[in-house]
Amino acid sequence: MGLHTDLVARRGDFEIAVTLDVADGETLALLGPNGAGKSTVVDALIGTLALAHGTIELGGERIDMLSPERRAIGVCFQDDLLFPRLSALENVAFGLRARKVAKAAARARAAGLLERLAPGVDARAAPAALSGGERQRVALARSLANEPRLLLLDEPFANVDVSARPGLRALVREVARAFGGPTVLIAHDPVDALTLADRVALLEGGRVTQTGRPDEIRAAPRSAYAADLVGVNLFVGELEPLDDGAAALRTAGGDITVSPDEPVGRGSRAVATLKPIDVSLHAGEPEGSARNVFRGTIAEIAVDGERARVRVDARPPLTAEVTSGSAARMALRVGDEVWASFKAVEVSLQIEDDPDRTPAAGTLGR
Amino acid sequence: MRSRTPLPLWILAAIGVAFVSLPLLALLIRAPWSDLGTAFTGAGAGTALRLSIVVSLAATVLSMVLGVPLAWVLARSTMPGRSVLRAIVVLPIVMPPVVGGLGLLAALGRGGVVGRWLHETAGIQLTFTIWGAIVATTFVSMPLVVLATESGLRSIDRRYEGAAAALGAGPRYAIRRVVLPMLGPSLAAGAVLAWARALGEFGATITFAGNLAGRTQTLPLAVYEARLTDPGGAIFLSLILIAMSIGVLVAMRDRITQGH
Repeated sequence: MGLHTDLVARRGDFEIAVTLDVADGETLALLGPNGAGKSTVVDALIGTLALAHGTIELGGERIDMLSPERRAIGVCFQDDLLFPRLSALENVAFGLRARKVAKAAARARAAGLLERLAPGVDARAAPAALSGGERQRVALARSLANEPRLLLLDEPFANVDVSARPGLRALVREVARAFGGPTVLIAHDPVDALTLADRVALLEGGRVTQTGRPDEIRAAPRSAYAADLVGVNLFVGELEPLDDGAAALRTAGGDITVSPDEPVGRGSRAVATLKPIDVSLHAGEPEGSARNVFRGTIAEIAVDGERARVRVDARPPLTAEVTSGSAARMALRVGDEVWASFKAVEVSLQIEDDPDRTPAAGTLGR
Repeated sequence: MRSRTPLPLWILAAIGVAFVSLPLLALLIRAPWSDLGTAFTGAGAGTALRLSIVVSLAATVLSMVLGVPLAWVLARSTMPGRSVLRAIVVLPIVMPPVVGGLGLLAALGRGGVVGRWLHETAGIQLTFTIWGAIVATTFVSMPLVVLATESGLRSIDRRYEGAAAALGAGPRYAIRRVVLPMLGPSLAAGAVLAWARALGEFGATITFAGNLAGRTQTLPLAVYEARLTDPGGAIFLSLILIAMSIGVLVAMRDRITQGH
């Protein structure tokens, strides 16, 4: 069961050769830069692009010979692709109506989905009257309306305002969790992939270059691209406001200090990222203004040309990037004790579960 | 912010406006308003008007029925020679209508390549009938439908059709619920342009269908015939045509003059 693909498809001179296995109930993120072939994979999966060879198996059945309308894939498209001349409700009911579900029943089901996934959105509104985040919620409802066997989310956050992203991300997580089948999330933002997926497949030049759990890929990126893309320091935890406007982010691996733009509520869930280049390493306890200072031991040093990535076992674990020259000057060696520091303002913070923006968990049944 | 328009442009623009509006004004001035009733009946206005409406509407419908599928093929198929096909299809727009009428005569006239066969096997004669007027008018109107529809189709992101298919819609359902509604403004523009063109059609009709009052004599033909014998009546008929054209422009003002 689940999704199993072993496919080759071509568009002009460009070729993708992709093997993916996604179990029922699992979310796989296909992460790659622009031009890696992500949309070609989408087109091959939904059937608007014929395979050159290979197979797509979904739920124990081969679907690659089926026309797109018979593949039972729920697709949430990049740019949402809501039909502009249909209302939000008609968009959600579209697939049901196409399958000859009676109008009243289709509309009732669509209205129910909209209520759960896009509360507050006027069901009669034309897509053009909705915000990017609202449109993507309607698109998400539309992708679920037909009880698909595969959920395919094609960069659902691409055209969504930054402020609406965390709420939408929490919603996508809920939807994928409640959905019983395999979910494929197409992403170019590593934070989306690393926080939403059970496993990540990196797509480069039409080939999957690495597959693994997010922590595996972050610990051992196999290419410079992978290191840049997913080698960020990622912290997921709950916020606790501090007296001076800063906040502590309490994560399973340890706490860091962050500096939110707005006051935060105690217990808000947040995702924070920190670039390795913003982490400094010191031989002794550093002096200065950095609020985050951690002592740890060097777990790994990976030299790649002029740059060296240093993994420090601390609470929390950190990855720093230094020039290979300074790594040599500091005589960094695996097992050495070292101090790592970074400024709270370098941490990019996204607060996820603002209760006003996210529907209550557990309401997103199929 | 508004930029100031230089004076020479204002002057040339004013001449342009005068050039277009003066003939209209002259017709209004020269119209023998006192003889309104007799001029109207004398020129056979009622008959010609009725005929014009029937012919132009029939030609519009026919243009849509044939032109929209043709535009679809031009926009969506990948067959070789599409550009040649498009050039042939839109040729009537740039071709002198009288030449089109001659061509129709050679093809569909009683002795024409196809017309002879039509007449001998089915007893169908197009020339000197209202059907002939409709065929001649469709010949010049249909390309406008093709152009408007094709450009409309090209402006629709094809991924919408892929999305409709992935959501479970067969091609026909996708066309009906997604593509045609998005194409609506282009179809409307094509239909109105075709109808306006049909209303003014003269050359192809008079060459192919002839100039028979009550059968093929549409308003423009009636104007042409009346212009020497009954100039006042001709002016009235012209004003009727102008009024109808203005009606079209007003109805479509945003779509045609500003695009869509």
